[in-house]
Amino acid sequence: MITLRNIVKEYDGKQDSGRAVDGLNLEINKGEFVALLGPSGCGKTTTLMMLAGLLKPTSGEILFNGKLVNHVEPKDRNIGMVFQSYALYPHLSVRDNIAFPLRERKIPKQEAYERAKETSKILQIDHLLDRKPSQLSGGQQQRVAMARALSKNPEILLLDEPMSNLDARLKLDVRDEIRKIQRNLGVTTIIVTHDQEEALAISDRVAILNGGQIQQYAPPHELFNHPVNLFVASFLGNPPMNLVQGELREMNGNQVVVTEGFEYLLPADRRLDKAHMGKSVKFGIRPHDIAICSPTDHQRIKMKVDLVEHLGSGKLVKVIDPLGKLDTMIRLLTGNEAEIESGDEVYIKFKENKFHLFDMNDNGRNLLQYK
Amino acid sequence: MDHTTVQPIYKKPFKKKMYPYFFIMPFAALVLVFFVLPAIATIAMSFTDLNASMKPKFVGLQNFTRVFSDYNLPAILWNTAIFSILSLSVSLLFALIISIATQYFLKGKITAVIYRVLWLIPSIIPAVVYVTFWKYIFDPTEGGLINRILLQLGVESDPVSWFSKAAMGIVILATVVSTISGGMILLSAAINSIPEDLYKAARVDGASEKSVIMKIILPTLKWPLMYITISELIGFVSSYFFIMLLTNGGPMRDTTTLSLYAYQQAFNLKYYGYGAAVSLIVVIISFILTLLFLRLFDFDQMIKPSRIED
Repeated sequence: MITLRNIVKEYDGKQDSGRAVDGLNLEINKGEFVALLGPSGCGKTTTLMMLAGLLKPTSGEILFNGKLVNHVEPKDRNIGMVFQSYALYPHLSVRDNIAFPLRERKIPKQEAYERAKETSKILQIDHLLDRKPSQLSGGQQQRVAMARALSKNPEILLLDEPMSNLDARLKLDVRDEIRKIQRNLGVTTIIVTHDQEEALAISDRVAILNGGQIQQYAPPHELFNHPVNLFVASFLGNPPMNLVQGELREMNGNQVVVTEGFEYLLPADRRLDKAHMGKSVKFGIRPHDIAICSPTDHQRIKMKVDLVEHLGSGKLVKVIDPLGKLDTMIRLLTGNEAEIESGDEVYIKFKENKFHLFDMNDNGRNLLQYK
Repeated sequence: MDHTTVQPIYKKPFKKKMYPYFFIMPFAALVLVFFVLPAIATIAMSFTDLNASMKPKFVGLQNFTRVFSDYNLPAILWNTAIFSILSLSVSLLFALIISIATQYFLKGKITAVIYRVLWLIPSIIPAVVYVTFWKYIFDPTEGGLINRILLQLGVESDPVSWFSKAAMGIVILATVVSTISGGMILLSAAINSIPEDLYKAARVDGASEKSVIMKIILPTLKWPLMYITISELIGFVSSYFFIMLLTNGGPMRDTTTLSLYAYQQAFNLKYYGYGAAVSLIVVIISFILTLLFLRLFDFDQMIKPSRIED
């Protein structure tokens, strides 16, 4: 088990002496697959480097199985690592690359080569053992890097954007394969990525980082359906969540979100504390939680279609205020069968209980977060 | 203006494919006058008995047979070999040590930069000034730096005549100190081009410093090392300038190398024909050594494209 406690990392000698990582707490269970996800500069790679021991935290504690490892050298942490650039040793053959960590542990050549061969079979590169890294394709190099990381049977596998140099289709295959190998070997794995689809698809839990702090650490579906704050909500999802500026009000005993373009009545089971009334909020709802409805439906909103994009699997419809005077703009997803063209007037409806309210006075905290 | 007037079509005076040659011509002419013609003249001269009287007469291979029967030749060849091999190995070794120390162990530190700049100084200052400095250090009188120190410490009671005792050592020392920086710059640049991730991967893999140097740094330096070896070797085999200024080949012929011998024969004794023959032999030796080292470093490997695109 890996525990990070109040980790702070400051790079000295930099002009902006801001903190790359600012009070980060994280727990990773044995055998778990965890992704560190965030925009560039959020501190995810710095965190991984500290887990590897290539960087020392300014303060805080890193524990592996309850033991403090802050000052333990990378080689003594029993980790395997795959770098974004793969960092294969260019002058060694694939066999020597994979056997390198073993040879450095004074394992006899014969045995090291045998283990290298076994590992290479798992990754299906045993026919490439005599090649040099420069004679391999990108995907093959990636496999060699994985094999080198796994050849010493590490307890922890660290992956630093391992798939960012692969093309989209290859990414899917490699992703599945990494997941499969990780399950079979049961190795605790931490992946750093800026690709949310990759993070959500591959991991048991995802830690979303921003500004050197963890915003939310949860299984993928929970992140997606119950974001804790505005950052997580707007960062995840493609097309992104619709966010409309509004205000919470009490009207005739009902709680209502009042926005420029529409008013939305909160259902009874989503009633908020009275203290929240009058607050400035962002009303958020994902494009696939909005439906086009009939003119008689309850809580309908009249809008005008501005643009229809064909995504292949469906249509992305951009609707605006019917009079064109307000800034309200909402994106929604419909099936291919819906016959809609730009200029049409439509009624839309939010699927019940799929909306979020983010408190703009409290760093965008989600008021409807489950406890 | 009349719209129908036909613009006279400008016709280029030469065919298109001629133009590149015009651009090359000025420099090619310089090369011809200052490199090719003198080379041909030297070759021609080596078959004549041209001397101070300036009346050349064709003598066939007589100059060459004279070189090989010259009783000085064994000693001179030996001096040349000692001078070249020692200078080359010491210079390469130090360039390698300094580059690895400053670009790997002290990477990015200001001390590393200062240290490398210090090594550059000997190759920047004019040769005559530089040689005077060495002459002052090893001066055989009490005024010489080393002699003064030794006398003051009481190690020696009389000033030591360094140039008669260790002339070859001093010549090699002075030459090496001024050539190290050339190799150092090339090797440092090559080490600097190694991606940082490789060192990180090596640390994660538990590589020892020895493995990092042997398996990551040295293989990267193969081609720069080849270039430095060949260019410095040719330089040492054909160099005479420092030796001439420091010892002028003495004492006796102890520090006379083949190229200095050629210079002395041609310009001191005015045996131009004979000097040309000796320097032609220097060129042939350099050429053979170059081929030898290209083979040794497996030069074909570098030209062969190894990348397989998918």
